Amino acid sequence: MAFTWSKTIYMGLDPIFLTELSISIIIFSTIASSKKSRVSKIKTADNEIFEVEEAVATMSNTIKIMAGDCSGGVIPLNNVHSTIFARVIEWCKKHVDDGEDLEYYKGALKNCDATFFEVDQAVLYHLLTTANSLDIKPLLHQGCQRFVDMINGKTVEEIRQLLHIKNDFTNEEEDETRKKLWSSVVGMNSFILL
Amino acid sequence: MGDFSSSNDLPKDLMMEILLNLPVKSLLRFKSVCKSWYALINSNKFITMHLDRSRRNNKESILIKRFNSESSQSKASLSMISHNDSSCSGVDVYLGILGNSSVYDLELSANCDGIIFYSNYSQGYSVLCNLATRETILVPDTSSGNDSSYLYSVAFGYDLKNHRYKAVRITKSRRDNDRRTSMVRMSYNVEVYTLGTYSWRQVNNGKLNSLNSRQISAPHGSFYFNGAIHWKGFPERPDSNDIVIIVFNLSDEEFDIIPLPDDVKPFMHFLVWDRSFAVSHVTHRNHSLLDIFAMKEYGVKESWTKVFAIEIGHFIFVRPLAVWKNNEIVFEIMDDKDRINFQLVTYNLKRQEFKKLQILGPLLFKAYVYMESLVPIKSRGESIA
Repeated sequence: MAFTWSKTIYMGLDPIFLTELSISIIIFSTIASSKKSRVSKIKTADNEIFEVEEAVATMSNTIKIMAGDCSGGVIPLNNVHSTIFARVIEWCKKHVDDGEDLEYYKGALKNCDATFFEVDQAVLYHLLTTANSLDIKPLLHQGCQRFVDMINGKTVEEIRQLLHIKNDFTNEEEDETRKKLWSSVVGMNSFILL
Repeated sequence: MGDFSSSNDLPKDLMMEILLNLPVKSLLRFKSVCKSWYALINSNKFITMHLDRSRRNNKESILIKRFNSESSQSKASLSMISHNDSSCSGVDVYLGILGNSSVYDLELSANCDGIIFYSNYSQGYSVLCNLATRETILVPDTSSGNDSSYLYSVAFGYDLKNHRYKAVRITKSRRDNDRRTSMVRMSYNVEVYTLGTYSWRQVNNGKLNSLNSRQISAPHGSFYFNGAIHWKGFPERPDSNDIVIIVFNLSDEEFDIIPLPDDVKPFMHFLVWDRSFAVSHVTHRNHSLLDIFAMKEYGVKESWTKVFAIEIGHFIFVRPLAVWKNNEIVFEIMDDKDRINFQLVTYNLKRQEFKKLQILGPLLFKAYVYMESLVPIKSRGESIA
């Protein structure tokens, strides 16, 4: 804080009073500047810098903790890409005032957030893993719900294709599992006696 | 753009979180996706968490026992109405050999961890079945019992201390004539079957027989909650209002009494309300009001609290079953206008109105609350914690 002392003010005033006055001016101006909305600076893995309102950014518990450690500097997110981060921030901006009630978010998924999650499965993965690593519970909750709706009711082969999972059962093992599933379905007819 | 790689990159706890929200039917199928999914879905930890998750999300279904439409006799059939089934057409439940039971004889205990204990009162056999995974075992007949005894009540629940599922049978038989009062005294015989063992065990029923000559309400009167079986206990004198709850603790296998709140009348039902043991009853003074009292601290008489009261209008019989989707309560009722058949209605807490569930097919005889689970019946040597 730079201030110029006018000669006319300075002259004739008690030095102790002046010191006290200058200290209170410094304190006052510090308080005043913190009441302005603070901006968090976040750097993603691909070196892009995002300036985000603190209230929005700290919806992520991870960022909240890191901000405490960085004290005003740039927060580095080493495993989040800028495209995904941009989406996450877009979601956070929308929900900054919505609180912690996860039930509310379940309903919101059906209404205002439905289109947000109409992305392909790869993007959904990244949204989920990012929400997980950034510890944004409501976003994670919604993402999981979307994922659940996506895979519920699908066949085994469809799941493998959708999630790129390799079938590591041998043919015999797969037959066994299928047999077990079927025998229990028809098993009501033949109770297993002890 | 980043590298959109395979699901192996989705953290294990995240994948588990997603799977925990799936219904049993999908999970059984997904066991075949790959070895790690097979191991996960079969694990005791997952099964317990899945059950807990369903409880927290009120994913209860209603099982309805009704007459078999194709049978001219009073044979029973069973249907299930799922918590998210808006059409309420119900799904038929295959009863197998129990399909020969009459509607009056077939007893179900269905509110313990997705396992149903079916009993046939006149035939005497029982079946344990996880309805969702279809695992079934036949429960052996009891070996005891003389000719003058008959099956009086059956129940099923979970022993919390020893981590075992147990079934309970109570048979009634004549005792000697009481010379003082010249009344024929009935005595109860109690047996327990522990899942994993293969026979019924006699338990000490001395206390039950001496509980101030109380009659336990049966058949179809047992209610499992939190490690114990509950029955209504009526006093011997029919004009007395001193009704209590008779409890059989599955861990120490002892009987005890839990007092009811003072202003609860005989015509009442047990239910679970917000994870507490509760009773519902219709007040005498005002026949059209239903109250629900919950025991906030289990076993403590002073902790009975009225938690709910609604106008029930022209319903002459009202029994709460389950709370659905956090805003609706399902009731089994009998309407004044139709005094023959039971019906299912939902009460919407927000809108404060009743709505009938139009169930297709034969009419309802009795309703039960059921929640699906992955809990195995055939023990794998590990207990479900």
